[in-house]
Amino acid sequence: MKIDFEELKKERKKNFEERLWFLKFWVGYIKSHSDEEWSSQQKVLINSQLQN
Amino acid sequence: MEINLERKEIILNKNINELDKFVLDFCRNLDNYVLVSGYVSILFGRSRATEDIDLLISKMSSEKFKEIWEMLEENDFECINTLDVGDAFRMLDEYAIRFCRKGKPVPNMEFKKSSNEVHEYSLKNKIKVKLKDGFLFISPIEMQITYKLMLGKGGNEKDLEDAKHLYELFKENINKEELFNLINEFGVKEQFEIIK
Repeated sequence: MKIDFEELKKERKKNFEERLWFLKFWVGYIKSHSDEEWSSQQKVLINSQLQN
Repeated sequence: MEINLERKEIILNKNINELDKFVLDFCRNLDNYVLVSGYVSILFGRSRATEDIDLLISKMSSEKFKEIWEMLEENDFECINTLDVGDAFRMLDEYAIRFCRKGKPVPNMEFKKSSNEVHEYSLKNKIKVKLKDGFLFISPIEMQITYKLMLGKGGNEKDLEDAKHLYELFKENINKEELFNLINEFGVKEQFEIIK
C-alpha cells in the first residue's frame, strides 16, 4: 500500500480547522441558549461516554 | 450563565451530568482547592468527556490530609495508588494521587499538591462557580487558556480545542491584559494565533 503522508497531513490540518469552526459554532449556541438547554445535550453525550 | 470575573464568580444553571456529580461529590470534602485543565472546559460546555479530573490543593499538614482522607472514605471514595494514608501523604510530595468511587476507577480525581508559583497563582485567584447542586472552585480563566495553549505546544489538538472553547466563551469577560501577560510569560503566542 502506498501511503501519501503529505495528503494525510493536509487532511488532519483540515479536520482540525473544521473542529475549531464547530467549537465556535457550539459556543455561539451555548451563549444564545439557556444553560438547561445546552447542558441537556452535553449530559447525554457525557453520561453515555462514562457508561460505556 | 452569569459571569462576573471581577467578583471571581460565575453562576451556572446547567443540568448536572455524571462527571459534574462526581466532581461535586468529591469537592464537598475539600476547602482550599482549584480544578484545573480539561474539566474546566467540560464544566462550561465542551462536548467531550474525560476519564480524569485534575485538582490542585494547597499545602497542608499530615493531620489535615488524614481528615480529608477519612471524609472521602466515608463518602464512598478510595485512593487508587495506596490504601495507606501515610503513604498517600508522602507520595503527594512528588506525585499526584488518584481517587475514584470505590470499585470504579473511571472517572477519577487526580489530586495534586500545590508545588510552584503557577499553582499558587491559580489558588490565590480562584473563581467560584455556583451550580444548582453546590459550588466548585476553578483556576482563573486566563490561566486556564494559557496553560492549555502551553500543552498544545506539543501538537496536542485536544488542548488547543479546550483553550479555544474557553476563549470563545469568555473573551468578552476576561482580563485581556492579564491573558496577554500570561501568554508572553508562557511563550505561547503562536498557539494563541491558531485559536483566537
